[in-house]
Amino acid sequence: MDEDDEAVSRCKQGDLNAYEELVDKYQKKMLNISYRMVGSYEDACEIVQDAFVSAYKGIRGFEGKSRFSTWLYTIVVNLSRNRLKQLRTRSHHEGLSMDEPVLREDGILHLEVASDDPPVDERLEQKELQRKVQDCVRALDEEYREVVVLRDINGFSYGEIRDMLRIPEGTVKSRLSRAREALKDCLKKVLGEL
Amino acid sequence: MECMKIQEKLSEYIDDILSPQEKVTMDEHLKSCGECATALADLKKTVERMKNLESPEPPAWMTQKIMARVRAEAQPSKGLFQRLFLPLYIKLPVGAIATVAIALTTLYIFRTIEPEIKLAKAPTEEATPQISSREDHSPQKGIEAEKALPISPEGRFDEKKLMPPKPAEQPVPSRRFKFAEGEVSAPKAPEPMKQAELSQEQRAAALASGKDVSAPSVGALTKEEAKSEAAPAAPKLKAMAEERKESIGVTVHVKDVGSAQKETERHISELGGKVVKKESYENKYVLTAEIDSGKLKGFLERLKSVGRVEEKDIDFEGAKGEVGIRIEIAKKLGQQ
Repeated sequence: MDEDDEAVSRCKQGDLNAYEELVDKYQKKMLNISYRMVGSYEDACEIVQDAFVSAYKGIRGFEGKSRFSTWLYTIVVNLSRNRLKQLRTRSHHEGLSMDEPVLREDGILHLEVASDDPPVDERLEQKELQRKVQDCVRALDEEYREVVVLRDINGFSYGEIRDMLRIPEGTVKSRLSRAREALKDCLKKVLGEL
Repeated sequence: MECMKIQEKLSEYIDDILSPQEKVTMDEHLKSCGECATALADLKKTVERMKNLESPEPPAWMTQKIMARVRAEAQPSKGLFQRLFLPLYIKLPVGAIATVAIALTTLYIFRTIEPEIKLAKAPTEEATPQISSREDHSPQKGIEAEKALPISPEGRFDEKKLMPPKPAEQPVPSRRFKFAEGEVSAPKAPEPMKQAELSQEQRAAALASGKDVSAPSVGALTKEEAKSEAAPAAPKLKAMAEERKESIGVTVHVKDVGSAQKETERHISELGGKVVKKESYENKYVLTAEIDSGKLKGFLERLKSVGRVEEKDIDFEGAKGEVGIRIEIAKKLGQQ
């Protein structure tokens, strides 16, 4: 029994208030997924909007085989993937670098080491730390990044990640293992210590 | 070699998804291997760093924007045919309203320019030959001659049936014409003359629009009628000129047009004059009357009691016998 069953059922009958409740409930987590995946707040906001509109269009076809939230997150993950693909295509055509060091299949991470200038105060220090961690996440290759984002940042189970990414659970495990190792190396490099 | 395998499983070990047997093996190795234990600690810290990343707050407008788009999606979309063609229940009333609006506008335009047609001065006998001679070489020669002809009472123009003239024909300059007896201001406009002037204007408009000027227009004589009138026209004009009475125009600005009109009529009848014609317009009343020239001054004095009198070059000395007077009773500006 999904906690959103009732709201989803009302949505299917055209109750927009019910849909608004679901929007309020899930937008933050969806934004976090998208933001960590694409790395741009503005793009992530657009993706989340598109995801909710797509979900509304397809809600009558949602059969409840998975949880509604998982279905929503799958939509936002797919839209984020599409967005990344667009950016990659654009940067390829324009001959521009995405300015993102990538963890390749060989596990080599290319990343510019952040400045060692001391932060002004604690808040700034915290902000700087967050930025560096995010840089390391962004430095991961897309397929590693998405498992880290879903597992470590958003806390989904291996099974949920498998369903969302439509990959075998073993692949989730191996990708996650390699992604974590790469992140560890990256963080050691940019932070000095963990 | 064993350490490599152990470190590959560290990620799953942290997530506690290993089988109990694998977990026991891992635990035993980690107790004895400092390198693998450090790797585990670093990996745990890394995961902790990820978990501690702050979730960005969605912008305040996010829900509203999403719901606006969702509402737009929820509305049934119109087909191309529906977008191009309005349904009959909208189209019919719109058409009806448009028709009424056009009719009202036409009526308004007609009412607005009507007085100008009536105020236009008719050409007199003296003027007629001048116009004719001037335009002798013009292809409209026949028409001009026709214009100046007096029209028999049978061809009297019915003002109520007058169709709105085209803008080109509206302004008709009022002229002063000289008679053998002396200068006379715009002559009295008896009914036949009015007919002539209307005919002139209508034909001018017809020329401007390239129409057949000989075609009869509403309220005007037919071509045949005009032709039949053409022959005796000159003698008639002379007779009219002899009998012509001085025509005088005055304008009285009053507060109440209705009562002023009655009062004016009373003054005319008291002075032995007679009202020849009454014309009513919006905020205006025009009386055409005949009055003895000797009583003209007195009449004008009396008119001053009715309202503010605006005289137009009245030549009391030149006026003899019975004179025609056109009294325009107009509402004062600003008075509603």
